[in-house]
Amino acid sequence: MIPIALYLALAAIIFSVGLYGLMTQRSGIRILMCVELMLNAANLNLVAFSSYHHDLTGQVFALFSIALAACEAAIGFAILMALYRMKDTISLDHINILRW
Amino acid sequence: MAVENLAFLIPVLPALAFVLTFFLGKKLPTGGAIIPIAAIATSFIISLLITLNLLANPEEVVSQSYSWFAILNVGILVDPLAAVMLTMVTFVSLLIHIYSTGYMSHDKAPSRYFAETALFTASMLGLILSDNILQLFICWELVGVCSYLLIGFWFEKPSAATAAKKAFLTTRIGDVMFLTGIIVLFSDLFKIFNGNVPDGVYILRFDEIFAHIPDLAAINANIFGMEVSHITLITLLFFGGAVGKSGQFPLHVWLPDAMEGPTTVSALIHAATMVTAGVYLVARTFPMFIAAPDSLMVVAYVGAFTAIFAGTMGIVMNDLKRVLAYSTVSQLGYMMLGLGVGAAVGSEAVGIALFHLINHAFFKALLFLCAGSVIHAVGTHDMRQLGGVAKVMPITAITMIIASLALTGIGIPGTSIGTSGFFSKDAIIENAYLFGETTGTWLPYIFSIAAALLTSIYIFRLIFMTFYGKPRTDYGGHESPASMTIPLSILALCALVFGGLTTKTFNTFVSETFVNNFVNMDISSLATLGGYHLAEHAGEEPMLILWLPLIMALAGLVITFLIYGLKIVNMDKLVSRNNPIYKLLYNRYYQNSIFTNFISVKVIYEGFAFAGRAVDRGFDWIVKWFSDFTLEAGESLRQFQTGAVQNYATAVITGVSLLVILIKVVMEVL
Amino acid sequence: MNLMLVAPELTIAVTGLAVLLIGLFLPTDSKKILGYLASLGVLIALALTVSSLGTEALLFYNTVSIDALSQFFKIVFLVVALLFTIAGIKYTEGNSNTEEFFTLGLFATIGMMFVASANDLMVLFVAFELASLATYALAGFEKKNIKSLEAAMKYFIIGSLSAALMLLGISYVYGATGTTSIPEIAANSATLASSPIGIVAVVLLLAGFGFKIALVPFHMWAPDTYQGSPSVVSALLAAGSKKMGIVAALKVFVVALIALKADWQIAFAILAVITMTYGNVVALKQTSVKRMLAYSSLAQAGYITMAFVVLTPIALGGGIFYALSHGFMKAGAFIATAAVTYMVLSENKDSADPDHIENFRGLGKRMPITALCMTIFVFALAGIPLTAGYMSKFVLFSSTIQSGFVWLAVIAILNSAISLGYYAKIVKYMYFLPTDSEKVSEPFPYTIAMIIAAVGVLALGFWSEPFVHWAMEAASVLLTGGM
Repeated sequence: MIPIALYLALAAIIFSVGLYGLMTQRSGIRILMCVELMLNAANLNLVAFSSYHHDLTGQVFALFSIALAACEAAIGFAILMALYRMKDTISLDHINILRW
Repeated sequence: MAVENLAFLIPVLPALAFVLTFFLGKKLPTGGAIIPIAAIATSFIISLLITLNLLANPEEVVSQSYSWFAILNVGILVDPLAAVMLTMVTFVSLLIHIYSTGYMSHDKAPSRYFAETALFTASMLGLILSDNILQLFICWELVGVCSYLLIGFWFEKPSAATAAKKAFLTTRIGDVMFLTGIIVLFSDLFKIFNGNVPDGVYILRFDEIFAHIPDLAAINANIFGMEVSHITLITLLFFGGAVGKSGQFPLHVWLPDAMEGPTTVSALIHAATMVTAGVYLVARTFPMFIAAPDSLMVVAYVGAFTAIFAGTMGIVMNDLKRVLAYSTVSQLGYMMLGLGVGAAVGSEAVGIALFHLINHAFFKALLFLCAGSVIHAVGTHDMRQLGGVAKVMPITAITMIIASLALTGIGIPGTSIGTSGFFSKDAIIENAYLFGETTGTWLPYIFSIAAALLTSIYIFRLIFMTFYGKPRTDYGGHESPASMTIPLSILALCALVFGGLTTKTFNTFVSETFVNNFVNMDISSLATLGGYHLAEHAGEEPMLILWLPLIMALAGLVITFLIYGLKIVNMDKLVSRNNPIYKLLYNRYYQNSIFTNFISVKVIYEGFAFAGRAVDRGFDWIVKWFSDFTLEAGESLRQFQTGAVQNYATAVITGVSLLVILIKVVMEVL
Repeated sequence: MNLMLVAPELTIAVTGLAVLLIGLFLPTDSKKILGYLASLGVLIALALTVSSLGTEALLFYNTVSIDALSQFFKIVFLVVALLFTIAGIKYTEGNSNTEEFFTLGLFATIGMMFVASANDLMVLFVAFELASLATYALAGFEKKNIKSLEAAMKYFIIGSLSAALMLLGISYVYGATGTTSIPEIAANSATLASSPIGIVAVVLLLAGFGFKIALVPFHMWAPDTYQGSPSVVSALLAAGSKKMGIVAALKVFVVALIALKADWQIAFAILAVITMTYGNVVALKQTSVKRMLAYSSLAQAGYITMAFVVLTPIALGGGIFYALSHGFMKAGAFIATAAVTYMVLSENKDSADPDHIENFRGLGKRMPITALCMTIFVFALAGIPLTAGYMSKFVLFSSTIQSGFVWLAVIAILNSAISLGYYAKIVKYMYFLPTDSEKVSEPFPYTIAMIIAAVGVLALGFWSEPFVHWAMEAASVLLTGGM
């Protein structure tokens, strides 16, 4: 049995990778991927805790959140597609009309 | 090696063809059409061999199941019902693929087309082969997706994109009902097993479901104050799925729009195969329906009403393909009616409905392909611009007329002379008569006989407007290439003789699906469970009843000939539109009233203007007090808002980290 | 289980689906009917909710609770949805995607309503995301407008970041307590309080909800998104979606995590002060009215957050009442801006900044009703007596002083004074600056929506007693530990 701390550490690492990417990446697609990483790190946590507590709620929760993550990705890609059509780029640092 | 062991290849080969065509198609001539054609041809041969084998040895049903997870399984089941469907689908799909090599030759993306049709064929075959309801549902969704992709094949056309969306969303209503039905079924069965399902028992497999029909019938639900047995509930939900997929009223609306796709797609998906999936579903779960008399009654009524309702719309359409689309809806209604009358005739209903399904697949695919041939040659769908096409395209014209005769069901009652539609459609109408006799409800019969007249009118109107007389516009045109006319001729042959040759064998073969095969049901005891008696069927219908459908068909022919052939009635006067309702709606707009101007401008504005100047000074004074300092602050603070979204994310993260630290510190200090 | 208890949600869901499907069959020029249909659905749902006031129940295996609090917020959301759909009738005129606009709006409303009645973190999260996803798409509704797209993009990215943070927070709460049910978490939260991840979980959840409420520093998307989105959508975001964050925070912090009170009270105190000050100060220098309103709603969120710091029944009631009034005021103000935008765009199609404050010049003459309503809204936002804004501030601030947080109250009152500066600026432009433009006709649906909102603002101001009482009742649900 692998101790739960290892799962939590792995989740924390994945989450941090996602976080780092979110702050540094410019491409919209990569940002979306980073968000997925973060959501899945949280899912990993849920599942790990679920087996730790011998309680199915966490796994059910993870299933819900996987479905939500898929919806989120769909919306995200739709927005990026629309942006690409207007600006011919998905590099997010070119998109800053709205500020101050 | 027995051919049964190859059954799994039937859907697998087209699926492989999909993958290959998708990746390699662009590099091959004609978009790689040869790959799906070869794959589907092999599938066809396997299906045909299995069917023949079944015909000779009815007990050799192919049934293979593997555990998927927990109490669910994947598996294949080829009983007579599935076998005939498989053979028909592979056969029609094969011919349409061959035809498409000619039809799609000028298209930009033939490889995408062939990949998608191969995927469709694979999913449709998977649907038919499923031995459990869940797998069937998965394939059911897959064919829906393929249909969406193919309707929107020319997605640059906004109308195609809209039609695809509409088809997808409308059928989705049905799908949701179907899924709900499965969920209810699953939870009921789980309850019946008390949550303890023994190993090796897969509760969503058809035999397992059918074995528990009496238990399901014993569970009652209270819906809107009515006691409804769960079997009725489940079957109605299943039927809801079938209504969506098979374009029954009121979810038929997507089917005519679906004609935005290439004509071959209309022929394959929206005439011969996918739309019959709903009929197949009802046939597949027929033992459940027969134990639920109310559901079967709904099936009969919806089917009969759809048949006549779509027929009435068929006679006013001017678009070649739309007439055929409404005709499909109407014929699907017949098939549903054919199943619905099972309340009176028992398992024979499945045989007859399936027989009509197969015959319809032949002649409707043929009609669409002929229409495609015309459209391909002259470049328009509008019948008002055609006329006299028979001279330019003789093969197309002859095959189309054969298809029309099959559709209207021309033949001599009491003999085995007639087109294939004659045997199946008249059998359904006769069963509807029996149904009326047994249950005392005559509406389905009346609808079906009236629909027969409408069928004849709309299809001969199409023939006269398109092929007869003189060209109304200068459309040029030429006969289509051999790759298109050969499939037409083969289908025409089927439409002409298939019914006559097989009628007896076919009906007994398929009707016995549930009697002595895989599932082994006692249909009449189930019927007793449903609380009604089957008719003592002996073909004692009066002579008039036997002849009436034929009379109707001929009457339709005569009427259309008088109107469109001899032009004794001026149609232009009849169809003129002068609709006063439009205007009425239009003038219902609000008006900017006097109230607005008076109250707000005079009273309020003048009042404010008076008080305003004083207040303004007050405001200015307050603002000034703060402004020196705050405005500066505002100006510098707003610089934080850089507009780059990464910085915003960074702010969030920094905020989170700072808060953790702050709380930690403050808690320590306190 | 009695389905009548979720009848309002079901009504909205059915209306949403019906609008979507009917829209498929209508030609663009007759899609106007969809707006009426959507409004009718919301009205029916509103009537159903009002008629079921006073019922208490637990549904769906105790994951959804119907109580005074959830009913109160449901009414807030439905009122906002009503204003949204009515105004939407005009906004979507001639748009071929009308059905999507209304369907998304209604779906977002369902999400908000379920957050209001969530009794389990799972339901809360899913509903929260439902509302978020629908509003992401709405923010980018003008597919050809780069501002709208940028708004959607920023909203989406920060939104998904917060969703991830919130989910991580929830996972820690679940890990420490072994349950996702809010009352059970409350019962077990001692373990969380003693564990080191307690603080992390609190802050992560705070970030998740703070994003919706738009608390500094989780607010950065808000000004951009409110400015870039269609005004009607901004109304939904500021008036509806923001309240969803508040009710979620109330449920999670005040009910579930009450054992960690010490931790999050500090956090909320800090955030409240920063948020209101930042919002008010930055709003002063804005020239885009929508952006100004966005910063103003930051400030308002800061005031409401004070309730979490004070944490007495009166303060919580005040916060909840504030949420209701703010729904009316802010939705109304954004719809008024939408009317002005419409006017500007119909005069000059290519106008780059239709919501620039210059366009409000002489509005009192040009669009008298709009100007009058806008005046009511900004006065209410500023907290002028006899409006809903005044009453809410009064209840909230006085309860703050009463409980000994005098410093907090002083900061809040100073902030209110600053805010007068920019609110007055709008009134000044509308009534006191001359214009040579013509009077224009006011778009009817916008006018109706604004009048409803204005009547609401005035009614809550004049006749606030029953509403305040009702809000207190809702607040008492929180402090008795839920159900």
